[in-house]
Amino acid sequence: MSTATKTRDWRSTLQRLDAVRWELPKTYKPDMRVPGLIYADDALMEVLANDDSVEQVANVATLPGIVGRALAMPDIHQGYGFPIGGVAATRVEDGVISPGGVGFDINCGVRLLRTPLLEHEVRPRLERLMQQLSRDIPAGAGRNATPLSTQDVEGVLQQGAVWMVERMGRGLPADLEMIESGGCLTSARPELVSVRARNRGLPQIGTLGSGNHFAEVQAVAEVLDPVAARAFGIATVGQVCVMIHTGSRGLGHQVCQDFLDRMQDAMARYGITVPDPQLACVPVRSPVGQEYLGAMAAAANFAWANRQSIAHAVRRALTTIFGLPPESIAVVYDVSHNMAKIERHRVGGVERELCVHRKGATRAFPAGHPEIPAAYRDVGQPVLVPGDMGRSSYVCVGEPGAMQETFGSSCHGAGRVLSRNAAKRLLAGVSIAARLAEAGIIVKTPNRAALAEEASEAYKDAGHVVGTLQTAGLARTVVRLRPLGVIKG
Amino acid sequence: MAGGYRLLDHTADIALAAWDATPAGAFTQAALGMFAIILGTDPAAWQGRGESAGLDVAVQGRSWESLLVAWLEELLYHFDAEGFVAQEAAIDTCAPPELHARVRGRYLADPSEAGGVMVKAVTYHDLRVELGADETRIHVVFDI
Repeated sequence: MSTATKTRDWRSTLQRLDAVRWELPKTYKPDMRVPGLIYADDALMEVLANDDSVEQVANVATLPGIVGRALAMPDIHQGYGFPIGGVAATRVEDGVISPGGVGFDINCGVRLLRTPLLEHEVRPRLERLMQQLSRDIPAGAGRNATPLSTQDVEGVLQQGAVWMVERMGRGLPADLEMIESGGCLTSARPELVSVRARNRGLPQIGTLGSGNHFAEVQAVAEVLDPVAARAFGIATVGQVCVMIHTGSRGLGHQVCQDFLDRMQDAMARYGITVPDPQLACVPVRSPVGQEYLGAMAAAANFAWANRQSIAHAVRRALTTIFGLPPESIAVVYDVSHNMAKIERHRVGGVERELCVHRKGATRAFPAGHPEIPAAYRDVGQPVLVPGDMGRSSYVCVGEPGAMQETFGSSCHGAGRVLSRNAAKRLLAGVSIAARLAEAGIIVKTPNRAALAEEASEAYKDAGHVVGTLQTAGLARTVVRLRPLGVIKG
Repeated sequence: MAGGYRLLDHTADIALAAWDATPAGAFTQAALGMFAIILGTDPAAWQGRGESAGLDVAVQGRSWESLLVAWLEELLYHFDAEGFVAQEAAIDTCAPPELHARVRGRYLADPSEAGGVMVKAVTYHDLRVELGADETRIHVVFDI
């Protein structure tokens, strides 16, 4: 099977445009239709040399109908086909949709909840809170105690978080406005989600999964943009928040696999070849392309329902342990970082309908955009950037530069630098749980041995990543959050 | 030549090399390797407490690579949907377009018995099935 072979050393071809922008010219590889553009400072660029991510950016640039540039966010690292931290926009009219540009974990994303509590109020009961959360939010191979009924599976596929709140009572109506797309894509076509996908998803709603998924209790460590922080309701140093990172679980994974198989068969009909089979794609307007978008939307809804269900468990735990009124625990925002969205953007001065693939990348709309919740419209859309479990996470806000350069996109997280094996080897003999405890961080996980794989050494520093975003004018840093307790899969 | 598998370095995911004298043997090693990722230990050595069970598997694939993906995805489906952990496999047909196998294993009694990392999917990235006279070698990357 083909691999992404390097044609020549990209280091000699990459052109530095400024402190944080590097262009990979179209001439680097024969079939590139557009250049690549990589956002990275010097430290991040050095790390890029260690894997195939730049080659993958070049491969993405070969997709039919791609416009602008194949983009790489500062947290970019090697994926399978598309790099993780990649953005690619194709013309809806005659371009392609590629499930690999969304990922197996459709609508993997992040939700941030805020509370009225301060760290010193939480600390005395933090252990109890973490125990409650680890009981109520299954992680690893954990399944939910009561699987969804068939009717509720249909409901969440069609209506996502909306169904969870309005029909299952898991949340408050005010939650929905603070979720990207209102927590429901109306283009969803549940009938295109296979029985297999449903069978995988049924027992997994309300669960985290594993890998880099987590639920984390955090405290505001630093307020960098007080105006935006106040708009988001997180302007007090020490204010306790909870961040949830998970996606569509086995249901989304199956939907992606189902359509990758179909597209590999269908590609030849459209005369499309790709340098990597994981880039399999068909025209957006083709029947298979439209069916994928419908199934993808249903899986995305499932993921929003999943995060809603987990948020409900968090709210329940906080209200029980701290006696808070439920509405005092509010959703700051919920973003997706694995998604394809049909959006209008200006390309070469002309407004076009585009299919924007964001794979390990987050939408970042600036102030004034109509899709932002009314309470944030003067400020911009929150961008949630989780760090690794030992270090800070960030809330940023979309800037106009993102609309101009990256189709309104930014990074999604810290980005890995070490493989799991390399991390385990590096940290052999180190108790990550003990190290975190020394830093005052409680970790609950079904799998202590695997903690090394998620240790800070395995990741870029999210601070560098958001710093690069800010320098590039894509997103402004609003608040830095630090971990108090983590539930890890 | 003895069959085996080895987990390989990959930045964000996990790659696996598997080999044996025959394609059926190598496909079996690939399955064991996938469950080693999930369990955090070799499936043959895994001490699960759950009910033991057998599974009949029949999948199709036009090429060796798509047959391998279909085989591994089928086992992954049964793990996700039912908690079935494969510990040994007897593959009696293993050539495109078909694979038939009888798989033995156990159902997870408790989620904590899976001490590794959950596998989200089998990818086509860098996927290789190399057939030699004395040996079949497999390379596959899993999304975790």
